[in-house]
Amino acid sequence: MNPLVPQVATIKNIVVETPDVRTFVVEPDHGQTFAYRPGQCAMVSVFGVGEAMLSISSTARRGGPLEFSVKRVGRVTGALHEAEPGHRIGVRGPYGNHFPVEDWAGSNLLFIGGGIGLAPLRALINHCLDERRRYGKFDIIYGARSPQDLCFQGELMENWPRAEDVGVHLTVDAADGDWKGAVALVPHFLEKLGPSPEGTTAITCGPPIMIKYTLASLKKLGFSDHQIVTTLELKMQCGIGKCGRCNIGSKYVCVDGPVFTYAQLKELPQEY
Amino acid sequence: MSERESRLRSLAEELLASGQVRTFIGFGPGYEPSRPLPWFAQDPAGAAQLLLNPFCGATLARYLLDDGSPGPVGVLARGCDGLGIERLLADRRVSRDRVHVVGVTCRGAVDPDKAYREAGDTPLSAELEGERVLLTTASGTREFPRASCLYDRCLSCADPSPRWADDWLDEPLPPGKREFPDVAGLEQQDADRRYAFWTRQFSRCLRCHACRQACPACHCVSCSLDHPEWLDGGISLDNNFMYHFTRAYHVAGRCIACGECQQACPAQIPLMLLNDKFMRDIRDLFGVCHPHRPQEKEPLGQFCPDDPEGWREGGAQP
Amino acid sequence: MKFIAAAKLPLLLERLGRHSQVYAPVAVDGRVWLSPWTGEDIAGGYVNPVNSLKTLVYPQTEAVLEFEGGETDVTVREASPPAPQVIFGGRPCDAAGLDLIARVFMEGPFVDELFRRRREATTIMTVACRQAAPSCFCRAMGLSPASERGSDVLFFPGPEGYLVEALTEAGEQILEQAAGLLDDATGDQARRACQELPVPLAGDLNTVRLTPEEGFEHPYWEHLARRCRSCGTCTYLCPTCYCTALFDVTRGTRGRRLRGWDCCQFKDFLLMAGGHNARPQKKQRVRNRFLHKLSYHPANYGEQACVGCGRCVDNCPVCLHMAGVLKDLGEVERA
Ligand SMILES: Cc1cc2nc3c(=O)[nH]c(=O)nc-3n(C[C@H](O)[C@H](O)[C@H](O)COP(=O)(O)OP(=O)(O)OC[C@H]3O[C@@H](n4cnc5c(N)ncnc54)[C@H](O)[C@@H]3O)c2cc1C
Ligand code: SF4
Ligand code: SF4
Ligand code: SF4
Ligand code: SF4
Ligand code: FES
Repeated sequence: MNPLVPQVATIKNIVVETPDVRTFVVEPDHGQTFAYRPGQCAMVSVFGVGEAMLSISSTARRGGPLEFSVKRVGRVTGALHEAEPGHRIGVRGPYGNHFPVEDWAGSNLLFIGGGIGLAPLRALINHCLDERRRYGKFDIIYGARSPQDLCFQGELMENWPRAEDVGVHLTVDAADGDWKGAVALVPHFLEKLGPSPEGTTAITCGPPIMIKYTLASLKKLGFSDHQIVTTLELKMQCGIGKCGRCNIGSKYVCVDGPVFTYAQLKELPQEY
Repeated sequence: MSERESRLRSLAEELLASGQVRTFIGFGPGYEPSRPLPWFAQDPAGAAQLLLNPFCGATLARYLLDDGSPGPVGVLARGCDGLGIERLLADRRVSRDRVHVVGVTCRGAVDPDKAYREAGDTPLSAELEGERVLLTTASGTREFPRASCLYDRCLSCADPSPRWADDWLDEPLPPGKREFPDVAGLEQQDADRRYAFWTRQFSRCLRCHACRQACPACHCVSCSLDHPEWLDGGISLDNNFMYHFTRAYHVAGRCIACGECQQACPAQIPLMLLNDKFMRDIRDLFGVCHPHRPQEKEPLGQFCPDDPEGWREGGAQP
Repeated sequence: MKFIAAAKLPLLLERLGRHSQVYAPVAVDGRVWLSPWTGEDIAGGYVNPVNSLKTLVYPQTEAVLEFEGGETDVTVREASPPAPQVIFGGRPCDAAGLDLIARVFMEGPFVDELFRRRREATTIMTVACRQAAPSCFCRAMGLSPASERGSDVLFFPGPEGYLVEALTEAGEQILEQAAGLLDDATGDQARRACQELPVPLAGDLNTVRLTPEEGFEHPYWEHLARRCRSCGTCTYLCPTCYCTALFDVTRGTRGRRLRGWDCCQFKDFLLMAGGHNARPQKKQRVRNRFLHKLSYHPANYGEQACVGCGRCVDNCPVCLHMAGVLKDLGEVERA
């Protein structure tokens, strides 16, 4: 079986999250979806346009179809946004490592997301919520450009805040009329909230620039390199470690990542 | 050390020391004597290593586009470099006040591969004397005809000196006239044979872009050849033809005949034949004698009421 | 060990051509290429063909899959398997290079099916070297003009013909087809001549001192990069470079997904949607090429990703090449 050949799958449903993010609910036409863990990704193709690497934003243990939450930025993501339920696309995966949840037993979890970076975090948060007892306190910090750019509003506003011992803290870069919440960039907002590093693991996903400053803020708050977990995004083509595209030094983000601890990141050349 | 070389070094040193230029682009020592490297002197020590000998090959103008160079920049210019600089100035990619041109009259550059083949050993030095080249190897000095040692592009060069410079290392020579003997040869063949010829040539193309990256006229910031909407990345004869038509048309009327594209091509595709065909046609059609010398009025960049329109009358082509 | 007379070589290739596509070194406009062979003169006297064995086993463009239909009824088919091929005339450095990249494709969590299929459909008949170019440095990379790595059959050229040795099962099978054309060998002079051929650039490359930790920000990279033109010559000719891109090509309602070579020296290699580029500077890209070969690849596979074929030495338009860098690092010297 050629790992570069995707399964054909059908888009069952499309959820409009924000003006430029949609979640695609996808089922393979034949056989089963693959097993996957939070943080893993898949290559999604629109035939005739190309492929894009996407985090799987659904949670495997909840069963059900695969979900991808996609921000419209270019050719493939653009074609996906044009698609309708019933359209057939290609999916291959799962790719990459996953969040090391097994290392976090007993730990407080601090999730910090920005923009579409909440997609992999959503899979992780739901995974952890389903085994709530294994962990301490949850805090979810999430920021977007504006209130209408907040993804997964149902979960952000309803499901997560209602769960046991979960704090949800939202911020936007720029408010509009009705917004009552915080207006700040994620790293500033994080510093203001000032969560204690004591017994806490911080997991951050978002655009490269947000990650950069968030890492600095976490250091300022006293988090050690091993307490910080992040994901990296690099251009990808094959997703299976063969096309030579996504290396950072001797590591390939598609197979050795995308999840890295800050301690691991520091071992790599600063070239991402 | 030749007199010109020592003049070059002291001039570059002066320019750097006085702050007139921040970098001086020339040639410096390579890994082998017959392969000097493009050199970027930034201090007197760097200037003292500049070389000027018949093995100085690659053209230098395109390095003016380099993002990393803290300007203003001094540059050594032979005829081909000079026209390349003019091209970049005319195309507004480089501004005049950022370059200081040190002109030198070129007698042709020796191709180290040809020299190795002729001499049967790694050449250590070369001297040009009229129609002869003196090549020195470990086993002594021997004489060879110029035509068998120089780069192809130098054998058909019509511009030994740049047309202007801020400083000169020697006396400039007037430009000559470019002839197009190979174009005539190709035109005499029938269409099938020409097609077979170009098929053989273009089917070897690797699409490595060495031709584009070498060319002082082919410097668009965003190149259509990189955009899959225009040309997909698949290597096929069709796509390769498309690549070469695009390249040739985009430099038509702007090509300065430096020959660096063909020189850079690892597949040894005779790109100059195509460039020459365009140049010859532009000369004949638009009455521009020197289509490869940047001028105020670009032959294909302007419309004139009396431009020939053979295609309108049903295609009587020259 | 067998022997084949030079005059019988075309007969051998002709016979192999009945079941396989045969490639052989052929002079095209003055330079030797491994080309589809249809009876042309088999070139001799070349040091290394322009194209390495990589180009025939890991082609510059190949189909991954074919698709047909519209948005709601698309069907997908895997690309058809490659036809058997025999390649005569590659050099030992290239065969080793192919084996080196084969590890990338065959090891790790995934096996690259396209590569595996084509490699298994290919028989590599390498010709050992009797002549080295000034740019050759296989010995510095732990190989030799007679090394066996990656070849199915090794030919040792002598004045009258070739000593022939099968190195793998596939090699033995192919020689069975040569019954009647091969004689028993007398003596092994040709082999020794190849084994003992001196190679101009030698050295001992056990370690490259410039590790990313020590040398990542060294001004040396800027010094190198200033001259580089960001073309693809070095990587496209290199037998051990393997970066590719995937892209779809459509005609009407049918299309193919192709895989084609790409090059880490191109400025847009890592350009992402939104404009972020992890290696926008030439310095970063040049450094990546050399450190990939000398540091990153060894970290993953325990060996340098260069076989000393000399192609980048001869063909880089500004002579910015591997042997030069190794010399600068003090790893290679003239024998
Ligand atoms: C590990 C990983 C997880 C990701 N998860 C998500 C997600 O959950 N949701 C989401 O919206 N986006 C995600 N991305 C980003 C997404 O892959 C790109 O936005 C997408 O590939 C852009 O493709 P395009 O064809 O629309 O853009 P174009 O600019 O037209 O891209 C052309 C090609 O370049 C490559 N490419 C371009 N940008 C990127 C990029 N940023 N990352 C990787 N490859 C790129 C792709 O192969 C693409 O086909 C993820 C990226 C990575 C590496
Ligand atoms: S330099 Fe030669 S091989 Fe490379 S793209 Fe140009 S014509 Fe093709
Ligand atoms: S097309 Fe070739 S000859 Fe003309 S300017 Fe460009 S590199 Fe020089
Ligand atoms: S090193 Fe040479 S061949 Fe490679 S990209 Fe730079 S100029 Fe081109
Ligand atoms: S890096 Fe250069 S010498 Fe080494 S294998 Fe590649 S092309 Fe050959
Ligand atoms: S995407 Fe191909 S190696 Fe990582």
